[in-house]
Amino acid sequence: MSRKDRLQDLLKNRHIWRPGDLHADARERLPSGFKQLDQHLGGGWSTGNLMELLLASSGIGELRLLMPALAELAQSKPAGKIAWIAPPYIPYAPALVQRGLDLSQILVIAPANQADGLWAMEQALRDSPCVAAFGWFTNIDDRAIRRLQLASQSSSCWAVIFRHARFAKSASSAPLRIHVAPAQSSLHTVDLHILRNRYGSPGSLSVQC
Amino acid sequence: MLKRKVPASQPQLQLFGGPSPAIPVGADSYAGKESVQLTRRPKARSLWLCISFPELCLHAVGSPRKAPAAVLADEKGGAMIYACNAKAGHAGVSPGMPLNAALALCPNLDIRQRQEGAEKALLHARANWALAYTPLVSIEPEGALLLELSGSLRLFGGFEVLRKRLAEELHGSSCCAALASAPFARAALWLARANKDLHCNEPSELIGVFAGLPLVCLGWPLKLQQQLLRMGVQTVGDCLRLPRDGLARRIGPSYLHELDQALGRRPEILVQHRPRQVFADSLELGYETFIVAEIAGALRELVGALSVVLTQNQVSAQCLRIQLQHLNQPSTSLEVRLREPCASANHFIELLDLQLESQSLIAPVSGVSLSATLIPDFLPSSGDLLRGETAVAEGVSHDASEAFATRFIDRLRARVGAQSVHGLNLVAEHRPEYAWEATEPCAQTGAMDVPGGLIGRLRPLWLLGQPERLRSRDGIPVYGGELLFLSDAERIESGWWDGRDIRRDYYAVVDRSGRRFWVYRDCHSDGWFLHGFFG
Repeated sequence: MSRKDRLQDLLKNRHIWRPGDLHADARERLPSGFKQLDQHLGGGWSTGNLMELLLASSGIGELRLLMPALAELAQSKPAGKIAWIAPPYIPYAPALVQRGLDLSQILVIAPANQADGLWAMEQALRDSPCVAAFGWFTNIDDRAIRRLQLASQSSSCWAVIFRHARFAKSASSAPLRIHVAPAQSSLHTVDLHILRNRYGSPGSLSVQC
Repeated sequence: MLKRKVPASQPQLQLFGGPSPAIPVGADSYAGKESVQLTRRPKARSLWLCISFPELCLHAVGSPRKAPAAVLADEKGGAMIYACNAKAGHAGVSPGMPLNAALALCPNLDIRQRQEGAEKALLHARANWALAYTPLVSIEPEGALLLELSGSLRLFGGFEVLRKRLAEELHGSSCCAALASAPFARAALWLARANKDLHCNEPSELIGVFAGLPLVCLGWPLKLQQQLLRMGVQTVGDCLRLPRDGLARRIGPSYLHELDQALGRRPEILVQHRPRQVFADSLELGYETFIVAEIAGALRELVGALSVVLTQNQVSAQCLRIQLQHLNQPSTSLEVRLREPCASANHFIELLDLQLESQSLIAPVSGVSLSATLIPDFLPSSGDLLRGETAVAEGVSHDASEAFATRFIDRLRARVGAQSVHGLNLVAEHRPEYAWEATEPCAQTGAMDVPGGLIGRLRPLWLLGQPERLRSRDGIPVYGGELLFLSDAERIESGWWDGRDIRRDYYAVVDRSGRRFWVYRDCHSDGWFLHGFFG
């Protein structure tokens, strides 16, 4: 076998990726509901991968960003569960219904400590009835993120963790990292900085939501 | 085994031995009434088989079979012979005899103290065995079982076949048992006490069979039997020939009622034997340990025993209570609660392991015990004839995904606690903090309609559990910096009837960074509060 063939063989490995290599990604996409964002992400939020949203504080528009995709999940059959693990505040049921969500899908898990929360997140990502799992972890290190990423690869669950924006510079195994901030210019706009994007291109954009 | 299914809603089923209304005590003698009674009998006739265990108390204490043996009971005057086997009977020993007299007659008599608890347990075990043949089993305290067999005849191939099978099984398990059958429970019991293998399944023949039955078979008090003997009444038949009113005056109406019940002229209420309703077992480790794997191993053994009981009785369990025993400390309690009854040992073991993992042991464990309430299993739902095959298939997959979700939630709850996992639901309520509730997961109605009052009024995605007080400057709230009003006031005024009266003006506001809040001005105190984020 020539050296070139061996290189080709090596590159066929699913775990090796090259930036911009969109075709290597055969995973399912969940339309985000924002055209511009979908283009950046290569078709939508990628399920079966961990996504990291970095924010300065909760309630700046991070949930509005996810709502169209969640409403999409409510329409699909069979309806799986959506796990909300350690949310910082109460997910307000009337507002969720206004956004078109199906309340019977929602499962709120309020663990006593972060270890239990990470365990619950991992359970939701492995063999489970969840189609989406959101976890709010204030103090999570890269080892735990790597663990979650490995767990999410084994399923087709849409996995999102919310972290503080100060971790933007620290190492992380999540293939998709987005910094979210409210836009100064317009009221219903959120500025997104895609810090890392394994299956699309990094960059900045604003979405109306 | 379709026959074993019993309606789960009735904890105690009342069984009526005979259908006829009660006869007044003053009616004529029995023999003349027989023809009238027969015409009233309904077509579905019951068939009672009585299995009497004459040597139950000897078996319970493990007396030898081949040697003369007797059981003692403490009477007023001291130790008396309560029962003896046939060998002792041949030597002249009889129940009611003082111990000294019995020993004088039969010096090598094996004597043991009576154990009522053991007798009861033995009888219960045999009643459980009888449940394999009919769901309607009743325990007679004097060491007999009553089985209603009319519903089981077809399944087992007729009465004769079933009777032989029962007799063989009893013989095989080396119990000394007497079988008898009759259309009425009490009649069957009396015939069984005669120990002559009497089977009389026609109500019209009962009187003839009773004619030769000695008074002992009635099980009436000894004093009453002696009184009747003095009157010249030697058999049950003699008893029935007497005029009713005179007999009632002499022996009391309650015994007359028993005669009526034996002939099916008065209904009889029996208590149905239910299989075990509680499982409880424990295991001593024999040493002390902190090692979770060893404790889990012992628990696994107990769960295995539980699952055997569950399968045998076709029941399930929903809540397991576990005690970890320590030597010098009160034991630690664990509880595994499922969302739905379950009979699968693997599921229980999985949840137990999760609980043990998160449990911190205060002291080394020396033993474990497990108890569970058994729940009669629900019947599996049957498909609809008129629905198409696809609909049935969809229903099945829906059930399967529900069961999957249930197991997932059980697993979560075993680790993070039952209160920490919940679902969301809407409540028809104007006060924002009461417009939602935490529910059992998967128990939501799944309504997707926006409540009428909320159309056009966007609610925040995040709600604060406790509204946060805001400072205000010149009547305008401040949070970090100046806040800008985005909407007009929405007045919410409600709850004057339950003491949590609110009167608030809600506004959507935005701060300089672009973060949007839901704030209100409390009209009672004129203060500003933050109640949510638009997320």
